[in-house]
Amino acid sequence: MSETTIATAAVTREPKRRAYDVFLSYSSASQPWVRKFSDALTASGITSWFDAHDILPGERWRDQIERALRQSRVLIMVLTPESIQRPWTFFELGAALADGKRIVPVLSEDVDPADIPALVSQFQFVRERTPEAAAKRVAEAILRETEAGT
Amino acid sequence: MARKKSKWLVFISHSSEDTWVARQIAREIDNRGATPFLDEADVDVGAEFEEDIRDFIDKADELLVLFTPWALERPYVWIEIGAAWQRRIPIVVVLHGLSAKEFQVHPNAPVFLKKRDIIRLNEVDKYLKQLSSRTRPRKKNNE
Repeated sequence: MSETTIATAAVTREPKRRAYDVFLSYSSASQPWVRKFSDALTASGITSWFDAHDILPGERWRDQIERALRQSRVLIMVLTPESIQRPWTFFELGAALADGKRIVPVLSEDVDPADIPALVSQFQFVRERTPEAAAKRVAEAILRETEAGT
Repeated sequence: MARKKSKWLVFISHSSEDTWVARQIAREIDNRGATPFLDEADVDVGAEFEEDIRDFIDKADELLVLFTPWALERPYVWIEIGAAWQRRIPIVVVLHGLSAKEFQVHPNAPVFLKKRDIIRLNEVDKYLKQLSSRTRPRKKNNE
């Protein structure tokens, strides 16, 4: 059973109305990898909202996730063999497309790019050996875009 | 923002396995004065899908999802649900091959769907009746 697990990250220098800059979509199996990725985003100047830390006991977790999805301007899809089987991955993609969000696929090492659904493969993806290296590249792109938009 | 005179557009999301059933629903929607849009029948699946889907989902007034056990596994159905959710347009789920209970306890069932918007295929006439009342302008108001 695939449990939905999502983290978002907020950019401290957010120039527009969005509460979060990055919405991170992933499957629970890759949470250790995503935790490192999220920490590295923070280290690069991007403040992460991480569901494992920030959803308080008793809160409606799905509501929190949906709110975060609406309030972010970039969708990062961490694509693993598990996540590409997960319907919520595609739900989040549809929401991002309808919202005009920027979409950044991040491929794990064990995913064959040939297995990526055609609709996702049209977006330039990031693939690095470590979550830290992947976060650095993503953060650079986000910060560059943020600066261009200010 | 109010739409002008264009017809009420109902986007029908379905698996290719269910095309025949989806076409029957589309015909009935057309008979009720709305415009049906069948995703796989009307859009070339491929590189242009994203642009086409965005274009049509932008114009759709509501989304009807024909959910079958195999449609639950179909990425495009979920993309369309996500897009409709983002746009906050009504989403109606028509179940075929699984019961409302089976659907609601399914780990992937969208929790934001309201119970009254989940119907069985055999109840589709109820939906069509409601659709008629949405699409037909009332005479009183037009005078």
